[in-house]
Amino acid sequence: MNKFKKFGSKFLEALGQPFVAILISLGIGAIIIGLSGKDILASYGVMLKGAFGDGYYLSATLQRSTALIMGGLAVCIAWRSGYEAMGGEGQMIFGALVSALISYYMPGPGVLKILVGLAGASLVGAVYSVLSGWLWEKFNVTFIISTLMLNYIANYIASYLTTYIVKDPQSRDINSIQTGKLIEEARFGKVGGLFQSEGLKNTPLGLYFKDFNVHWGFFFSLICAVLVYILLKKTKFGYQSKMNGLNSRFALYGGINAHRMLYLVMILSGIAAGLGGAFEVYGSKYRYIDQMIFSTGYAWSGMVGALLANFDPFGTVLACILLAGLNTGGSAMQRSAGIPVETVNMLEGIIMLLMSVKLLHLIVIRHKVRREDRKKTEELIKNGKEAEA
Amino acid sequence: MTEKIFEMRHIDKLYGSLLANDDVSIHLNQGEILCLVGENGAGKSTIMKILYGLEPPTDGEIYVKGEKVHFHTPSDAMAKGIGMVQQHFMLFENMTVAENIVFKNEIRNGLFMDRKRTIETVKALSEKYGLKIDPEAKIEDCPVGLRQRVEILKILYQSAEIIIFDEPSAVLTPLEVESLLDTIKSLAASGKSIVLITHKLQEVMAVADRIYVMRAGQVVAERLRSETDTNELAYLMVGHHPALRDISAPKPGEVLLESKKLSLHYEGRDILKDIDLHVNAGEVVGIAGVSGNGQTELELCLTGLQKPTGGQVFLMGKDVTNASVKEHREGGLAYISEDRYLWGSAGEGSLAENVLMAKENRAEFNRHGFLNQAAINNYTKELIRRFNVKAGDTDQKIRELSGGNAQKLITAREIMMDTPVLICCEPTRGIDIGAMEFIHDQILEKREQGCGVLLVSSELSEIMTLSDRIYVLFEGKIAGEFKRGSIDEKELGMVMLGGKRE
Repeated sequence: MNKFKKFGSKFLEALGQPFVAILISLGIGAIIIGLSGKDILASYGVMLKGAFGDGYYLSATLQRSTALIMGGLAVCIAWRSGYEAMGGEGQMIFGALVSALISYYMPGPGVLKILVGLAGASLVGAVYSVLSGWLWEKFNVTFIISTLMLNYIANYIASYLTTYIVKDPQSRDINSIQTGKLIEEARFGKVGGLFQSEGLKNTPLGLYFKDFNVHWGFFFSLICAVLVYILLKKTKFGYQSKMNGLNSRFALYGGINAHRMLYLVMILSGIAAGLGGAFEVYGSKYRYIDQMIFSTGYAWSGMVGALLANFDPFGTVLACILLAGLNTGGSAMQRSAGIPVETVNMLEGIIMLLMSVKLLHLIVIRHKVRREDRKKTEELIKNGKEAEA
Repeated sequence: MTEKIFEMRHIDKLYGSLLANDDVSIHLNQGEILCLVGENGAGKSTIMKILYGLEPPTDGEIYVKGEKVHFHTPSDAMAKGIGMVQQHFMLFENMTVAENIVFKNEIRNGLFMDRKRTIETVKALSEKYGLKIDPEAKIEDCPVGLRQRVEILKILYQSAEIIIFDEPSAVLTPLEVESLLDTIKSLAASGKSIVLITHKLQEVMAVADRIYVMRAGQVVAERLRSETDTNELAYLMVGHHPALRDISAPKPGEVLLESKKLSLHYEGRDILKDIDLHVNAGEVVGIAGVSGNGQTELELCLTGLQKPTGGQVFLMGKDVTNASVKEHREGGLAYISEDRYLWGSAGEGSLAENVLMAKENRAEFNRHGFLNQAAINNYTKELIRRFNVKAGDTDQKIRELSGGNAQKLITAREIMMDTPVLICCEPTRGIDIGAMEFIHDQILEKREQGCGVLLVSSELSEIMTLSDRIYVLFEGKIAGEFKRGSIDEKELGMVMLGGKRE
């Protein structure tokens, strides 16, 4: 009983903030819908239906959530270890571009194209992520600055390449800035036709899943979440990285190699983001299209998801699916209720803002601790001076 | 002379569920030096914070010169002539002594501050009370003793009648303490009324007129100095007579930890210079010194957290001068850091996570990189039980424990490393006598087992009680080495200040 109670309170504690954030943003959304003279309940009903209403919409939501989940997992790995890296976007862009190029230009069977493409995406994600770690360690460039700038650099490099160097040779449209389309064999397959056997076909379950059709990428992202969960919660590495995040001096004191920890964490986080970009290519777009990661805000939504879940991998999956649903549901709301999709963008903005309060709180606390550490060190040195005087 | 200048009646103070003051009634007579003594956490600072307007009382009444008052801020208290010299000084580092003293009550010349007159006023004030200072010196260039003097002058400048000192000697060297006690006496002689909060009984016996002893939030005794002695006061403070230790003669074995010409040069200064020390099996070696003389850097160099710029360190005969912390720990070193929150624990981490540190590679907890959570929890529970830590479940956060209990758990973790060498820095700083005695027992137990213990402490009595040999650290150099019994506390104090032994 006691154990149950404890679990319950922990659950509430973990979910309290995200729940409140979503509730408040939906409340503000309701006011705006009301002010524009629309029926609030009906509008939200349309939104819910457009996100999870049937197999078709659910598929759209889950497919969108794939990249969010991978970006969110990248944030979980890095932030839990105390590195506030926001470079998921840049890593995702390169991951997507590199996998699209490898699988388009490399000869060989489709499976091989995909496997090498995934490896390439992991590698480039890891390298790009390590770059910001290196800048931090060597030159003391804060992660927030370096990763944000690196995101822009990645996006414009990718733009340049797709515009001038690796532009789709088949495309006649001068305005389409994209790489060549992958052949059928070099794409992720789809999972569909669930519960469609004769017996189940006409049950509610069968009817719901009638148009369900989701690419493998989503399921791969779930597998990644399980792997990250095991890595963070069950292994020595997970323990050491958490301690490093809570108090890096304590980690040093215990004999944890900070240098090794930094690069390991950046590599793993970069791999997750890079794969996220590749999944988007193999599952949805089948090529790299200019701005496909940058303008969709996948990495940022993923970060909001990870923050909502307090860096818990399974929680991140859930939060990312919800955030993806907000987006697909929002498009539906625009189509049938005539409420501009900007309203929904605003809702996500409000959630992000509310979660950012926590983000800010987190960063402020960490910086405060660091400031205090520095002050303490300075004091130690100054005391030494006094003793000398 | 017996007019009550302030009186506090039936004060209660509740912090959450902790009763910090329980029906405390005290008063101060005009021109008197009153001492509040008690262990850490007895509630003596709390009651004075209430008087000074820093904390509101939960219940009770305060009278100043017979008039009932309600203070909401220290300025309210100051307006009634009450000033407090706090443990942490509130001074502007980059401003001068005079500017700090007149802050908020500047002497103006039209719109501007009249510097000349300010300096003259401060000089006159300093001469009047015999508190020598240089009004034009910057605070950042003043040592701690002088800063405290500035704090006192600041209060006098605001014409305080009642001056509260909160553990004023905690930050001072023995010589500075003596001068402070003289100051206190002369202030009282000039008509000021003084409250001195302390747990150092020698100071009490040197200056007090009257004494309140506090324990667990209550006043347990009131004594005139003339009718008591340190023994009785110690008994009243703790509630029992402190155990006298019977320490067996040392049987030193081979050298376990050794440094040769260990030096640390930083920004053009020698923080450590040619430190030669060694710790043998079966002995406790103390490092005495006023804090800030290189102790912190010495412990960091000996544990691998800081690379020395010169010299060598040997652990179990192996050169570990440039080895990692991990290599030090695996080579047979356990280490209780001087700062349990900065280095020694992760406050937001669970008890189990804090206990696991540096043991995560052990086969009993780690199979091929995967942690055995059940074994870790059981081990944590065992440590909590064996070391009498007052704690809840193993997933409680360590910052929720009291300082003494957190320190016990950290001590437990390091002692249970079962290493031949233990470096133990300020192991009992800021914790109560019960926990302190327990930790001392553990250190001596380690010695009995034939391990070598290096004890770094700024608490002289701790060093004197536990150490078989004492090195004195002064300005980053070893200023002397003494065997147990070959030096008394006073002589050691002289050496700590750079003096020679008479």
